[in-house]
Amino acid sequence: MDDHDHENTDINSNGFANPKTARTARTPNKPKSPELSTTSWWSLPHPVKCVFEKFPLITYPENELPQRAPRHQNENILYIFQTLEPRARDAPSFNPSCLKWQAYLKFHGIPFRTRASNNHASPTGALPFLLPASNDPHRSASPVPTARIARWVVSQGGKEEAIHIRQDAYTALIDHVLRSAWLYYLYLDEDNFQAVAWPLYVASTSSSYAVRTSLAYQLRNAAREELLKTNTVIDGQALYRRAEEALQSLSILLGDENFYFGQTTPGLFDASLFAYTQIILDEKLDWKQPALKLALQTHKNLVQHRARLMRGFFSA
Amino acid sequence: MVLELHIWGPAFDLPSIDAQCLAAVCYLRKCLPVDAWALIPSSDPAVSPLGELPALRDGDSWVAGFDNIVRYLRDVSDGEWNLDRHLDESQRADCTALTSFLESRGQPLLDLCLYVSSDNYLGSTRQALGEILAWPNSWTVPHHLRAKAKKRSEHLGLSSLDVDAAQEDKSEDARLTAHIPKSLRKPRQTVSGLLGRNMQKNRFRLDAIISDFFEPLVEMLGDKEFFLGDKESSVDCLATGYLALMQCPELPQGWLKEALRNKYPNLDHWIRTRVVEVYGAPVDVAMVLHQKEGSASAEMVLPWRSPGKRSLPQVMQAVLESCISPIPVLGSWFSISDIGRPRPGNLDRHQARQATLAQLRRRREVYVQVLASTCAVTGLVGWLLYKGMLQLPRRAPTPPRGRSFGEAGALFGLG
Repeated sequence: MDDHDHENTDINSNGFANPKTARTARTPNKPKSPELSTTSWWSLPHPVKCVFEKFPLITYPENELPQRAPRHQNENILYIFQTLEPRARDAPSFNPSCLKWQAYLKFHGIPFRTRASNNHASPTGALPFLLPASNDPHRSASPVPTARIARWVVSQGGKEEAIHIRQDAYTALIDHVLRSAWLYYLYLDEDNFQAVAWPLYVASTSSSYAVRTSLAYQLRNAAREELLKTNTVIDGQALYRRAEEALQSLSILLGDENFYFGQTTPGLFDASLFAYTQIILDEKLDWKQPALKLALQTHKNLVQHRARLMRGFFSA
Repeated sequence: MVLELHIWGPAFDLPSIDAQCLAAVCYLRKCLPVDAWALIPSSDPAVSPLGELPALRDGDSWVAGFDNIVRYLRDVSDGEWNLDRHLDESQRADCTALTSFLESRGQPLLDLCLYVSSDNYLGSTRQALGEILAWPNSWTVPHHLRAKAKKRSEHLGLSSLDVDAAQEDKSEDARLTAHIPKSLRKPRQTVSGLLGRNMQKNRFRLDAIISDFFEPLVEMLGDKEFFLGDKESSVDCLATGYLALMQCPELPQGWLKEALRNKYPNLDHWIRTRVVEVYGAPVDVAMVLHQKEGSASAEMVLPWRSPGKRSLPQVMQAVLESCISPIPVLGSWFSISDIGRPRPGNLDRHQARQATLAQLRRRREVYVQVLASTCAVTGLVGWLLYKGMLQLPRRAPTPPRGRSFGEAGALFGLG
């Protein structure tokens, strides 16, 4: 009997820890006074109050500025395809057209900072584009698309390059023949696509399987469409064969010179070629079907040309 | 063995309407004795398994494209049929570079001039194509060629020469460009704008593109007779092909011809003499296709031979293909776009490619026949069923067996 009473009091003392509540419990039939009811209505119940007294539970750090807010307004920023590793901030891009302009700006001694980005961020729908330094801190300068970078460099005091007699013809060799072979090499060759293009262009964009699959399909389809513009049927071997001839011609054109057309400093043409040779010879990329790499390695002077530019401008 | 060169048919007084075909004609004429080859204006890419013109037939093997034809002739003749044999190393490099320059820059310019520009396409090119194509290709191929030309030249940003497209794009304009900063927007031309001041703007851009193409050529040619060295090479033939097609046609919008005549008189003179020398007198389409009898074979400098009549199955095949190819998913699957990796074997490259393509084509034909016969059978059976001539064997309705409720059922009369 004693035990039971003891248990009861225990339960009571535990269950009605709040004296106010205990009182109401003891006098259930007595009508509540208006003052008491308003306090009980408006004041918080004790446990909730305890919780709130602990606030703020955690103070979050300040939100970062939105991504589009310019952070380095006083610097030129080149938006390119780049790996996100922090130590590779100044590394050469893995996309030929981005690398071409990255190298071109470096050749002309224009100070700039690179920022990893993707096509969706570009106002023209294609990388690279350049956001020039702005003098007015409240307004950013308007972006310079790829086609106008050369003109912009001249406006910044870079020297205008003379066009050499055969430069146009050889440029067509890079932009047409070498590019076609490159498109096949990277995107349409199944093994190379899985080994190289997938981690660089697809896996870095999203972690969702569906997005990745559709992006991979889009990339390969775009490459196929591009090749079908000039070829009736896409024949990888024929593209490689023409690329080999192109490399042969470019190697003959370079001869024993340091840079193309007997220049003392590299120019746009060197940048265009370097954009492909650097990526094709890059040791970090693991090509499964290294047709172009093997073809390029047979031309010692082109390999040295790439190494020379790499040492001179990307050695940081 | 007489080699057969199959090309797109003659137009604009020239032996072919396609620059690569003209170049191939020029090359063969310069390289081979006249009795060693025949020129066939078949105007049908399906004539060879490679699906491409110009195509050279040597017995059973086919080679397509100017570049491949040059290479093939060099290989089979041990270097005898090779215009490039006198070139030294650096000239050979120039030759490769100039070839790719002509192909990659000349073709878009021709596309703009002959196909994209609405005036020229509707006023000249379509008629010219209509004369050389046979039914049903004459209904589908011109549109197909124009669509391809538009794709090839869209990077030049002059699609506004095409008035039809300018009308269609007008509505999309406002929505799409809302997000793009003003400085980067490309103004889209409208019809009225096109006729007015934008014509001037187009002219500026056109002039830039034209000079990008002609100036390097003028520099390379100089005052010489040939591009490389003092003898003819394959580049001269290729340049003849492209420039002839720019110089010869009388078009409603003759900006390309005018530019060549007014700004680059040297080049203009060079191509005029070349055309007369290589292709001879203006080509009469009807005579070449043997629609018209004439005693002209003596005065023709090229060994023309009329294309054989197409058999009924070939025509049916062409009709079927032209029906299937515009269907969105089926069409793209149906067209052969990629020949994949070469299979290891002892065939040489030309043969391997031809064999692969022929195999793909055969497989595709089987699919098409299966598809066509399935459709036909389904249609026939459906019609017969609809008309009631054919009846599905119906099961006789069996009387429903009532549930048995046993004795209680029997009591209530339910059994």
